[in-house]
Amino acid sequence: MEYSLTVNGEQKKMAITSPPSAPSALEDKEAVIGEQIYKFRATVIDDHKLLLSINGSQVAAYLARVGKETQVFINGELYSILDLGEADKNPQRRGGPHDQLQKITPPMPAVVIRLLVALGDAVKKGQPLIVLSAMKMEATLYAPYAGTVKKINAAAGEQVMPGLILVEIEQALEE
Amino acid sequence: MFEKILIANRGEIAVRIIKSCREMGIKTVAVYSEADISSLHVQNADEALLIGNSAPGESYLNFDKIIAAARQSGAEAIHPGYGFLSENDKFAERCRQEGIVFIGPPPAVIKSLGDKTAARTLMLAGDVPVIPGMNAPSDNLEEMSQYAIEIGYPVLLKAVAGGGGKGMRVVSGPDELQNAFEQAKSEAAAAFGNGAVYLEKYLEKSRHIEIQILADNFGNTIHLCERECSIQRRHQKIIEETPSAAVTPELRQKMGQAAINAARAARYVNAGTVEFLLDGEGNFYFMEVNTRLQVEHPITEMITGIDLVREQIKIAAGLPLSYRQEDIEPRGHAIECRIYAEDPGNSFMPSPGEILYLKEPSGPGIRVDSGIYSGFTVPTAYDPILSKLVVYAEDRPGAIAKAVCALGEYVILGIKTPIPFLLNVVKSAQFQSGETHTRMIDESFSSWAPPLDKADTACVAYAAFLLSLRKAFQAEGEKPKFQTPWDTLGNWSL
Repeated sequence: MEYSLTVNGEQKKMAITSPPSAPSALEDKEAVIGEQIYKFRATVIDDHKLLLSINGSQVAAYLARVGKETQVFINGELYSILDLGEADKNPQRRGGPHDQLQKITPPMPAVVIRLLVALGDAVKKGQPLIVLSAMKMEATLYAPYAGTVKKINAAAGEQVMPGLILVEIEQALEE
Repeated sequence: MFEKILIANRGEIAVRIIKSCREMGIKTVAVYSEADISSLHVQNADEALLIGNSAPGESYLNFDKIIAAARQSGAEAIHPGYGFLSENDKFAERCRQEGIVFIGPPPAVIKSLGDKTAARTLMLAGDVPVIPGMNAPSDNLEEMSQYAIEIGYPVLLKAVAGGGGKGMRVVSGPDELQNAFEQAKSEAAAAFGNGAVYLEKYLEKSRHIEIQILADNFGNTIHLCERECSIQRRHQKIIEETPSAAVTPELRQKMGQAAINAARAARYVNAGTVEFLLDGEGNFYFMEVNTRLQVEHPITEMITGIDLVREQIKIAAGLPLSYRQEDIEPRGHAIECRIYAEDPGNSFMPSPGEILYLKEPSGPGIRVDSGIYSGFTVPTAYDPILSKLVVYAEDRPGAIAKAVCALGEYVILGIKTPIPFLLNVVKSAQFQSGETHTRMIDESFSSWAPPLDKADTACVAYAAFLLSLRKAFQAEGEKPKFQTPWDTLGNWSL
């Protein structure tokens, strides 16, 4: 089986093989990632915990599906895995980092505190555009590129959700 | 002693206060908003009263509703925890009028210390060293700008009211002043209902050292040593420790005495914290007094063996302090790591959502003050603190090693938390050397990204997880005993 994954933003190709003599689906498999070969077996402890033995060393991994990603916790470190193969099979769910063109959208439900630009303004890359408040903290969203403000879809005091493009900027031609 | 106490707070601190009450044989009353119906503090109290919708003004900040809940339940005292009404002199005064004991300092003390510029004036009169800065707030940008040039950039804009880093901005040059001024004002107005701000000289590479004090109604005031809280992001503490690597016994004695002087100057009663900045030359400057239980109070409890909530309750009940200064014998080293619902890989933006899985670390010298459980949905309406991991060992290297192991065992799935980030900080050579200062995170960890060193192991775990699920599906052709998110994914293949 071939896997195409991104792990914390990094691309990984992995092939899993099992020797024909393996007595069960979980024992003595091999994973090949790049140049590395890992011999592993896994014991399911509960629905979120897996005890892995990789090249003879034991490691506990904790997993949960969160939206499109799978979170894997290993020794205090959290790895977010996106299975690109899965996205291919479900084109309507295709998304993730690829189509995240730098859009000015709140990262979580928020309230607009202040607009710092007006329609028609020319903005520089990195210029603050809009101030939001979520969970009592203020956050500023900045222009991802230079251009002209062609539409503003939010007003001060308004509740906004992720996905809503707050400020649309027509990108300036390369200087 | 009181028979019943109402806790006017939520989350981990309400849970922690309930524990001390229970040990003292005091019944507890929780109050909660509609957003907190399934919160842990509600489940742990002897009684729980729904007081309003999720907006803090309709629940945790609403005097009338909290007083009515105390009346209805027959609670004789109210513990405000931290945040919300804990430093609200008007609420403390209202309690006094209603004949309910407010577990904290008298209203007049909260008022004079809560206004940071008034507190500065008070400390100057009490011969406590203060940071160069304004002794009154200003709403005049021109005046601010003049003053900033006078004391020299960088300067720090601070809200006259409140704390927790809200309404605070470092300004490194004149061109940043206006925007910072407006942001600080509006953030302070939203958080504390008071948008007044003032300027202080910003001391770079200083340490945040605070002294815990306890004072009773009989004029006894003692200090319980220092806490170092230099590890901050967005002016909010994330790692605290005691003792500080920079505080010698002589300096501890000096700072402790200054804190006691500060408390006496303010006629302080109950538990409080005097915050100082310590520069590289061993000079320290008064910043402010926090007239409440601090988030980081557990580390002091670990090294002194004193339950601060218990002491607060005893003082409020009119009992004298159980300890004299010479009884305080700190031992060992304690470190606290704050666990928030936030994404350290995305500028610490809040990361609310459902906790799908939780496994808290345990073992000798490990304490977790927690307000969460598996299946709990973190509400968006409040401060995103989830819990605090506190470790204790004989010495600093031992405490660091324990923090590393405990963070490694602290599993929270479903939301993002700073655990991987905290792990990198406590493992760093800079933290281990003890050369900490308030800009350390900004200077050395601003480009932090999620780890990749165990990415291959994570991939293998992912594949094994899918395989185990397939095996579970195949077993006797029936669904697995446990429901997993994969059940809802429909057809898939490997």
